[in-house]
Amino acid sequence: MNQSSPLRNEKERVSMITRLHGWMRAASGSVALPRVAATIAAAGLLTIFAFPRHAAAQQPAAEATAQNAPAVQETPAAPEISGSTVLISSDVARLELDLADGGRQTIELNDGRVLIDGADRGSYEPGGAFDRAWRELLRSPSVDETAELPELLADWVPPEAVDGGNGRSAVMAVFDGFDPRALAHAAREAPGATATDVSGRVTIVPRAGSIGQLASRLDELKQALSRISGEEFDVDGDFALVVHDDYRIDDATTIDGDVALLGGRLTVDGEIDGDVLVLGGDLDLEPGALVMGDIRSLGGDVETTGATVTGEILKLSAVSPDARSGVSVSADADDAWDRHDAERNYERRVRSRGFFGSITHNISRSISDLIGTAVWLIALTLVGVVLVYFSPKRLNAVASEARADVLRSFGVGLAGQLLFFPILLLLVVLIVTWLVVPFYLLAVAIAIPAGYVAVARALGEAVVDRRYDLFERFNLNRQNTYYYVFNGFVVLLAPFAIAAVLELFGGWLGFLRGLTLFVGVVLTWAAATTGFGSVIITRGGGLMRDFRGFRRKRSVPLDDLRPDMEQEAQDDATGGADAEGADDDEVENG
Amino acid sequence: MGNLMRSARRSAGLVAALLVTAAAPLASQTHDWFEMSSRRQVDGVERLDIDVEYAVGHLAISPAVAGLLYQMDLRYDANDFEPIRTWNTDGGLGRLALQMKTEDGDIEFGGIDETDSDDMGTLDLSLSREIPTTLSLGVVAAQAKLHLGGLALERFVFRTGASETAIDFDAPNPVRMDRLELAAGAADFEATGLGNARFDRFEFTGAVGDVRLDFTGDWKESAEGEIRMGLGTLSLTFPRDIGVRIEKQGFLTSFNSAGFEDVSGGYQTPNWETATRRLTLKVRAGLGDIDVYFVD
Repeated sequence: MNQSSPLRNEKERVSMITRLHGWMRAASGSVALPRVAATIAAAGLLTIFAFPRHAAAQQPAAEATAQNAPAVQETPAAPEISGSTVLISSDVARLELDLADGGRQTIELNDGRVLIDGADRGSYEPGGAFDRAWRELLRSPSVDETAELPELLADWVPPEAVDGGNGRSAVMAVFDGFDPRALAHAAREAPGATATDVSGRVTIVPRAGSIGQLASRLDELKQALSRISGEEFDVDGDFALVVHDDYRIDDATTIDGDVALLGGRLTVDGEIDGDVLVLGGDLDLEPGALVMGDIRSLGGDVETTGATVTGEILKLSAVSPDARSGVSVSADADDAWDRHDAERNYERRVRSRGFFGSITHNISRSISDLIGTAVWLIALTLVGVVLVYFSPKRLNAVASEARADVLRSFGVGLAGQLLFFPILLLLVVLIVTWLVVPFYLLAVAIAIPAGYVAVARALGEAVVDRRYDLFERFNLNRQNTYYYVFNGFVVLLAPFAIAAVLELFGGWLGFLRGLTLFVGVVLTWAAATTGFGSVIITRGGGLMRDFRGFRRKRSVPLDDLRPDMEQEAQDDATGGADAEGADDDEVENG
Repeated sequence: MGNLMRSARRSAGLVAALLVTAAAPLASQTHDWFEMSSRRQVDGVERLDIDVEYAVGHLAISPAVAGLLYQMDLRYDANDFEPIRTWNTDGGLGRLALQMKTEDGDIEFGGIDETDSDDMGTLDLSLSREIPTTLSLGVVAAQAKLHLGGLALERFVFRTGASETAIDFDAPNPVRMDRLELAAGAADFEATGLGNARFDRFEFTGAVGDVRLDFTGDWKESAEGEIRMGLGTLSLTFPRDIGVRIEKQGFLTSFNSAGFEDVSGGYQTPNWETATRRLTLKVRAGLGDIDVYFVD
């Protein structure tokens, strides 16, 4: 508690009341505040500024009774200024006001500190906007006009303290106290309220310059209360004690009514016969302390070890998005849970889930995977259908190349993949080739899936040529390019479908399922690589392998080539034809 | 030019739509976390009735420190839930209720896998060991750790939709429990030390999942119970020093009857006639298997 703070002018305090009324109206106008906010607005905060600081600071709380509490004037009058003195230096800018009653008020900006009657009331930025405005005011000729000085000071509006200093509000509060208009307004706003509501109350006056903080805290209160709408705060009547600074209720003291803690630390050794509302600061109930009511804390900290609280102790606070709840019940419970978890984990290791125990889980996962595979099959087949429909000859050319020389296509495709980034880098580095980069990326993006479809087509054709009974049964052995593509994808996606079925058996066949998935992934990559290579070799299907292994611009229908390719395949089987040798002799016509 | 402008507008509209579509899930993932702590000292309360309806997240229950009636620490996303908490007293009986209210009354969750995420709410509830308590918990989807050993539970009801639940009575219940009722939808469910719960009647209802019920503990009285199981594995563990009788229904369920004698209407342990404490269980299972273990 800052007991060294000097007294503040009583009229100045009433001026602050005027401001607070404005804040309260603004607050309650935007959100329907519960009774607690209204209570603070109407009585509690009014009470704070209605008492001189030293009354509570210098008297023991037990003595601050209704009999001892000072009365507050209902019709305050502004102090009369009889003269003024200005002192300006490089570090100091001071205004001394001589009052008609013989008193003196000094407002001084001194090396970054705002001093009111010698007491430190806040900070400012030397050379900043507020400092410059203050010096400009003191240099004004009107300062010498004593009669106009009260209104001049009250009307003076310095720039907002964007530099972070908080001394502006302290100076403004002092000047408001000299404004007779504000005092008259205050009297209209709260006629008699200060005299009736605060009688017999114990209050702690906040530090000067904390009004802004109080308004900010009220905003927090509004938000917090809106978060927990539906909560009923049973804070009845006026606050018996409003604390906005460090304060202690000793063990011989009983506070008969509700208490609000707005800041600082309230240490309780005695008894509170009412609720405690903590909007900020720390509430520390010492062992033996007694609270006959609830404690509600919105953002404040509450320590109750060893104390007795007959009601609920409720804390609500917002946490940062990254914060995790660190709340724990007790150290013993945490230890017990650590042991429990360890034992449970061990037990899980030695126990198996069992077949039936997981069967529904496995079935759902299996069905989900099968559906996923089917969706892929449909999607890829649709892509294949589009390619077959719009560019059958190019697709057939790529497929023919892939089927005729798988290893070569795979090798070229692998090289193409490895060279993808170096070529891209080269195109970027060579500034002239920047324009080619989008076409390069587009070509690769088209070539890989198109090659994959072409490989599916080739694979499907190969399967049909084998005339498997399974395909025969489902009438899939048709000599049709669309069927080739579909059959090829069936084969390529078969490992994934098998893995999905193996999911049914859970952990039992987990390894086999993993192996099957691995095969599927490798097969997919190999097919895409081979197709990519075939696309490169055939220049996107522009070249076609003929019956001699030569390449020429595609001009011969695939059906015309088929006997040649079949003958080639027979030659391969009998060793009569050396494909690699043929490739060595390849030429391009035209 | 007109076509070009129309095309440009269409493209811009498409891009905007895509951006909005892409941003929507991100926006919906924002959180506004709050922590609420509510506790109350014993102070004249002789019996406690707690009813908690929890939605999605991590739930833990454990004994409170001496002198505390209960403590409830809740971490919740204010964008999704609003905790509604009520307290009233009737003579020496205190009633506490907590409900996680949603804006539209429905709770949406993307599956139990989400409860493995750290990005979930939590409810830590601690209860007095001294005050006889009736505890009712309803959980939609949560990872629940209920450490109930030593709590004075007169009745315990736990219902969960889809969760991974571990209930543990590692110390005897100081009071007799008239009913222990557990229900799980699709869950990995484990309850251990049920002998310490000191229940008169036990009921378990499970739809699908892997369920482990461990009836070991300090048996002081005889009890009876009923287990209804849909699909899955049911593991039952009994101490050898009590007599156990199982009346099974469900021909599609395999039953490992080792350690039991086949008697009229069911199976019972050889010590059934001589045992001073007995447990009678009716087991109705749909499809699955029942494994029984005995421990000394």
